[in-house]
Amino acid sequence: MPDLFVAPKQKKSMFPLAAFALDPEGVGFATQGEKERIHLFLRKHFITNVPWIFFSMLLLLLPLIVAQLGGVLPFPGFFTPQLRFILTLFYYLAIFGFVIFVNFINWYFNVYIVTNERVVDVDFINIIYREVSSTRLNLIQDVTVRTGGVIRVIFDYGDVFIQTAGTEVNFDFHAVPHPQTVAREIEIFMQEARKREGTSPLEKQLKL
Amino acid sequence: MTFETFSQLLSTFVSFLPKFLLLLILFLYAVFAGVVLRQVQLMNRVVTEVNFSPILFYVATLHFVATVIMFFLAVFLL
Repeated sequence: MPDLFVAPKQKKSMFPLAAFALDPEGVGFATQGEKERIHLFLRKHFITNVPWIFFSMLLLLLPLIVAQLGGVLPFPGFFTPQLRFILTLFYYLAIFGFVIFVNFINWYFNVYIVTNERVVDVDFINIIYREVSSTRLNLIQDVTVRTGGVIRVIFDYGDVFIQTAGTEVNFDFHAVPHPQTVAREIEIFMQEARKREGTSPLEKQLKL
Repeated sequence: MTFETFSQLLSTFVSFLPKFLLLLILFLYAVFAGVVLRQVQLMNRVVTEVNFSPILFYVATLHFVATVIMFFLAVFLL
């Protein structure tokens, strides 16, 4: 019996802390074109956050450890109780601001995007400096994957280096999950873009 | 100036110095929190996640507000 009605597939939004997402929904970027679709959305593997997470936990627990060992926190004698209270509050606020939040947004906003038209690299260098670069897929010359080390093998993450034509900027995707899959997807889209748009003017010049 | 007056002035200065330094540090930290908030706002325009971008902005705003409150708390308490 033929289907009377087929409900459209429910598309779920991408998990906010995802480091690897294929055809994600609910995500976009500033210079995205109308017909441009995000095919790959990448960040550094979440395991790269472990050092600062561990460090921040240590800092959060430090006053308690010191108080346990010494009995009281090491404030100078002339500090008033109000001053000690404000200092303690500021200590925890500073840990949250300087260590936790800044490191998190540093990881969160450093994204690598592959669309059906180009590759976009959003570099959030530090709190006051960011860089956004992009290149068209038909300008990509070479995609190299590099992975090594025990942790990287266990958690399957590595670097993907994208070489572009001529004087175009090269792209480095650092510590991305499933680097082989990333390279394969880029190459597939690269071939499709070349069929659709042709090779770059520089390549044509070199071939002649 | 007698030695007693000098030592009184010195002890007053020493007792006020940590408060002044703390207020200065809190003020500078409030500026930092403001910069973080503004950067989060700008970066949310560069990379937008429909579900999480507002949450990140609210957390940054809360952090900034907490810093400002702490500054005024320090001004009135100390």
